[in-house]
Amino acid sequence: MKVREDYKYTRTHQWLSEEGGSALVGITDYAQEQLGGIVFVSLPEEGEAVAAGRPFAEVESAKVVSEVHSPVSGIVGEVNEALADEPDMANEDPYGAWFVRVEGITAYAELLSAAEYTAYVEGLLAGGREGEG
Amino acid sequence: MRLSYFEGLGMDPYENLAMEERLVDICGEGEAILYLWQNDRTVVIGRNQDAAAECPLDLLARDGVRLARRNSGGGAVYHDAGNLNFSIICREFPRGASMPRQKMPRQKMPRQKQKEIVLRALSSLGIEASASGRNDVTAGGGKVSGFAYYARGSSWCGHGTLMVDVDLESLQKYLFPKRGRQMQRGVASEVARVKNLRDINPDIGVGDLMRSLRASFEGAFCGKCCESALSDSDLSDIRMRRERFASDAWIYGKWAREDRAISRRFGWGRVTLRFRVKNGVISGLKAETDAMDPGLADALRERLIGVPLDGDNLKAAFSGNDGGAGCHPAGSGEDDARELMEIGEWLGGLSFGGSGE
Repeated sequence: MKVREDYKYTRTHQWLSEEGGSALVGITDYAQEQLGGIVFVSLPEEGEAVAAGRPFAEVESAKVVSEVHSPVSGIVGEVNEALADEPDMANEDPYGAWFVRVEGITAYAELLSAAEYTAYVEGLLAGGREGEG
Repeated sequence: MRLSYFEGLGMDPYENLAMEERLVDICGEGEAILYLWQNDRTVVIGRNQDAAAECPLDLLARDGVRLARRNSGGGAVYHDAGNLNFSIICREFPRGASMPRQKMPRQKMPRQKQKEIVLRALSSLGIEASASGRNDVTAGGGKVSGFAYYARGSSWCGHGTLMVDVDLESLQKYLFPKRGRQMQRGVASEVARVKNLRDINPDIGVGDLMRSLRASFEGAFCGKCCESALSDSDLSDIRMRRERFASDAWIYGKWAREDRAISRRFGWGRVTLRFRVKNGVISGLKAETDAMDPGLADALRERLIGVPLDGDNLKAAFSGNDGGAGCHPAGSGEDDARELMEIGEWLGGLSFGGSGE
């Protein structure tokens, strides 16, 4: 499982990359691996508000339709339309396939460093991988 | 583990989906729910499908067949009283998490467990079935059941169909067969060869299947279902949720919101174009065609996104047509150029009326 050193993470498996006054948000390598082939990504519209810890997008794979939670509160300044067109970008390049750019950030969910997130996921994996069909 | 059993209140697909969602939201820690339900003649599409691309909306309206969108992903299915739906609902996620936790205390992952419950229920009725592909169950050489899943808050729901005695003629009539359809955003259905369980065991009925599913569910969790009943607040909540499931906004989705859809048959196939329009300018385009040409939808998008939605501008977008060199598979350039030219002529001659609000 890959983790980018310069990103921040949530326990719900999103990443956050801040630059200047805004941040890009996406899902982690662990998340995309759990989901399997992603066939649809439902994104918010530009200008919509997102709230830290609350769902702002959805992903559909053959295994599940799942919510994606925002690591920050703010306003969606930009939406990755290319990801909506090719959802499997999130499988192929999870740390490049950003979902939205959030601007005017007012609050953060609890964020983990790369090392903390790695330890957290290793804990989940050590919990046992049982007969997944 | 606490086991609960519910049956649908009636044959109304919107109410049944609303009740399922309610059960997902009230499912407690350490609880598993089995919910069995049936819809009267209904096409049910997946969470992220485009209704108009999956079924003939005009035929459905004419024949009184309902259209519903479910919470889970996957493809379109046809339900009638010959089909039984089962939902297995449990709490498998840490609160607020969006991904399944690897650690599953005392039990296997729910997807696997659910398949076992269905296979055992069928086996107890003398039907030897097997899991096939990722989400199907086959028996007697055909697909008898399909599964789909969603997560909501900290709950998980896996549900599926079981075809006992579905009217296959209607199924074929109310679901589009897919041939080379190109999807721009949206999940395409896979067409499977389906089979009714009654063709394998002529004595089987929906009631038998309900009893054997319940027994198999109890066996899988080593317990007995307690008699569960919906409270008044559950019922009023289900009525509210039903409104959402029955609304056009939910059923037709975002492509209905600001859409202009046009369709025309050419000598080489039918083309359906759905535009999303922002301030009079095309901001999204979904192109569907039954022509076997994988490059056409992309070529259309390339030309039309960002173009004002009116005849003159659309016509201009197709002038200086060089066949879209560079974006088409080799060998199909000439056909593409001809198809694009014909589409351009068609669009250039259209009047879209009104201002793009």
